[in-house]
Amino acid sequence: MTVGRKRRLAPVLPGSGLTLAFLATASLMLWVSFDLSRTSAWIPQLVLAFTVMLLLLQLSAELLAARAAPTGGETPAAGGRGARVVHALAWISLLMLASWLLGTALGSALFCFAWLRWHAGDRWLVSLAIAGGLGLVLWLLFVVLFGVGLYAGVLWPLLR
Amino acid sequence: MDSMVLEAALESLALVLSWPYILYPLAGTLLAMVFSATPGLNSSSLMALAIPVTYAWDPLAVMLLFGAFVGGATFMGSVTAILFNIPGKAQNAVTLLDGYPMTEQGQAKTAIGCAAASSALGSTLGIFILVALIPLMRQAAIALGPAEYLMLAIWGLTMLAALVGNSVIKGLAAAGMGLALAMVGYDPRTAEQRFTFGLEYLHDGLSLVPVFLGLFALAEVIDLVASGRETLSGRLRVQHMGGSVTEGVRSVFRHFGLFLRSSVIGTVIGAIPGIGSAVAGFIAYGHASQTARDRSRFGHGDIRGVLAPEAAMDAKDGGALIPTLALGIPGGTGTAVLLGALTLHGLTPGRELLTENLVLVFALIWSLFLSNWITSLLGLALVNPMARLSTIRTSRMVPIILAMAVLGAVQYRGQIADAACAVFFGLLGYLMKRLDWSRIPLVIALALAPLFETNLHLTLRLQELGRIDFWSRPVVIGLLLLTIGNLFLPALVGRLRSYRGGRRQ
Repeated sequence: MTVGRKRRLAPVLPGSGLTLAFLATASLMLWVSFDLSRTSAWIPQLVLAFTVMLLLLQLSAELLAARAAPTGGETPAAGGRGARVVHALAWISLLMLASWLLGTALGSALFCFAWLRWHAGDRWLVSLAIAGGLGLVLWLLFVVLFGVGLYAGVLWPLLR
Repeated sequence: MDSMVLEAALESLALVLSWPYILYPLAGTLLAMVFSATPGLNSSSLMALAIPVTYAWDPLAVMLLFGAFVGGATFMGSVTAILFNIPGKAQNAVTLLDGYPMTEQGQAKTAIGCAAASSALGSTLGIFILVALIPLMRQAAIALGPAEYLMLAIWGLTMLAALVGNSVIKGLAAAGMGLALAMVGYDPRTAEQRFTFGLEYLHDGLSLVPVFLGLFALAEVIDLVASGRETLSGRLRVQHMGGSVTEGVRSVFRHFGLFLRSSVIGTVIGAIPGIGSAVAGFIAYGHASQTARDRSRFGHGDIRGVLAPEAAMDAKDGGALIPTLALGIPGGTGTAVLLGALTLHGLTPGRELLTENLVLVFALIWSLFLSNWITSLLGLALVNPMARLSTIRTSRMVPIILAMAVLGAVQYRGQIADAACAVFFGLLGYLMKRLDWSRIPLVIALALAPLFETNLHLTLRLQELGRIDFWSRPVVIGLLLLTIGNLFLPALVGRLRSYRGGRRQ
């Protein structure tokens, strides 16, 4: 029985995951809105109640459609795609970390070099040239041309 | 045309042609061309990336740059469709139906010449219609009150929800989520904090810049990496570059009636929120094939199959600016990001923009006009190098776009948390794209939320005070009926189709 239910729900979850996430967010916001004053709360409550109702409708439609559809496991292509998304997110996190520590210009250039050398498999010289070019363009564009200071990161002020 | 409008048009033209302002449409067009021919990018990504860069600029320069972004993006996507059978963007898919067969028959230059001419002339016609409607738009914007603006916001959102994507419920739910997310932060009336969950970052609400960067730039990059695609076309050599550009340009004048009808179709469709270029192109293509005496060549390299969609897709840009500038209701993602950029520069579409800032409106229009012509002329001259952009390895583009997006998010307010916000919305945008949730209602709801909330309060207050009678205003009733139509018409049409299908069987 449990196995059967799992089989029925398994294909629903990847497709309905976003609907569930939206539903959870909207429900949480609706719940929190009851702590607000009446003047501040009524418009969000109106919008959120309507949104929760729609999301429930959507979720039930997705569940019904999944029941009617034949069950099937995740395709290898979909699995590969998922892994590549996680990979992309890991690289983006690295970029954010580098930008936070070293500032946006240097962090971006270092990230670009690391990506080209170790992710794309470019040669050292090509990776260095593109990364250096990116850092230089960002500096010229923002600092020299527009006169806007770039985010300096947290490490440089500490070192000074 | 009233004299004030004419004066603003001429003053704006003089400004656009003056130094250094002339550089903005030129640079904007070149950037838009590069972005539209590069895998994984589009004009919305470009606009999102440009918002933080242009934050400190004067509004005229911003208008000129963004006008060029709107106008310069369509044509290059058609070039890759014609040459490689791979549309640069989804909207260009219609062009390949007859464009690529022409390339196979050794008529690539004829097809590109025809696409360039109909694109430039189509956009010009769309812009003429927009300019002709400006006095009317001004009167409408002045005559409308809070009740009408409230109903316009609701109508715009339901229209998008009904027309974009494959489900009205999903569209409305996404719009609801957008409105809810826009309510995070201080309540503008009571200064009470809403949905901040104790996070200081959320006190001022979600900033549109990281949200746009995430939903449009980062989401596309994540999708590009996830797809594992190495290049857009993968073919380095452009073959079969036969034919004649002059012959292609001449064909537009030979089928001038079709060109005019397609441009009007594009402008009208552009003015309706939520219907994209792809729809305009396909409707114009359908019209061309249905009204042709000899339909046998369509799909096998008929030049009319290139002319009609190209004219419609570019004429759409002028039409799309009508609701955006007059009512603050964007027609699609590009105009939604444009609206966000306008708001960040303190420009409110509608009454204020069309009365106090008419010169800026015309700057946008002139820039759109110039960029469409520059795109077509440069596109013809630089077909080969531009087409080669589609063969750039994505692994080399990705770190540059990622760096620009994260830098753009951080630069706007100098907060690294904005980069995290952009990444969150990037992942959300990617998931929405993969799971068939349109991002457009969410983004447009975020942009329209202040219009909705402020006018809802004002309307109710005025109603309470007896200053207006909501139910006796004809525009309100008309918009209410249209809103009801938006919600129920798709379902009714679907039922009717299945009933007819059942009867036939």
